[in-house]
Amino acid sequence: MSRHLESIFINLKGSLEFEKRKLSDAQKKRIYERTMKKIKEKYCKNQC
Amino acid sequence: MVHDRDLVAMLKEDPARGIKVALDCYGGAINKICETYLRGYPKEDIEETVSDCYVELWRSIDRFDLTRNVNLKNYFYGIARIQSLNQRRKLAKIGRWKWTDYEGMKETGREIPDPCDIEQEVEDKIESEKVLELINRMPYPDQEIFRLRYVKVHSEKEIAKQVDLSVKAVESRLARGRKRLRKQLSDCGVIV
Repeated sequence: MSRHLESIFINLKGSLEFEKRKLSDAQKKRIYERTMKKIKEKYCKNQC
Repeated sequence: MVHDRDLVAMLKEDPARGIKVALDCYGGAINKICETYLRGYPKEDIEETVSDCYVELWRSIDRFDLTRNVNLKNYFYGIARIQSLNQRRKLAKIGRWKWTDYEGMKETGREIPDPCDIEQEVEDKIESEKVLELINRMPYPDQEIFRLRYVKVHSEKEIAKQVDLSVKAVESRLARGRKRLRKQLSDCGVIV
């Protein structure tokens, strides 16, 4: 097995934890509002 | 978990809903990628980058090709990596590195992060995600064999008992599977 593939396999366990991370509702709300504000700005800019 | 095709359609037709769903599905991982690349920077800058990732996902969704061998998750992780690197460059340019944090790190004995280590850490995680996704697509019993061997780190003998195959059969399925994985990974741009 190549050394790189071997190291990817070693990292597999950690990657499962990485995906399990969740944001709090407050964090989600902040990011959502900030994102939508930027999207609206960009969208309006393209429309005008 | 929402199917890629549905999330892509949502982001195109109803961005507000699409962003909400993307936050539910990938919020934690995207946050972790940005946090890792921007370790030492204020929370405000990290959240700004996280929200830029969702804007970029929405903005570039027409370019995402559902027929290619890349899922939306890995595409999004790639966006997070690029956005974080851009933000780090931008912040360094305007001198936003928090030297107070640097002092704090020295006082508390915490190590100052090496940017190369951080990039490697995130790249490793993204690669592992790709491998995991490919393993999840394997047919039975290969999927089970790979999970037991590389996620749960069981021996080939233990696996043979669990999947009711000979040790030799497990070994050869692992060898063939690794060969296929190498090919699939190089198709995704990962050199192994």
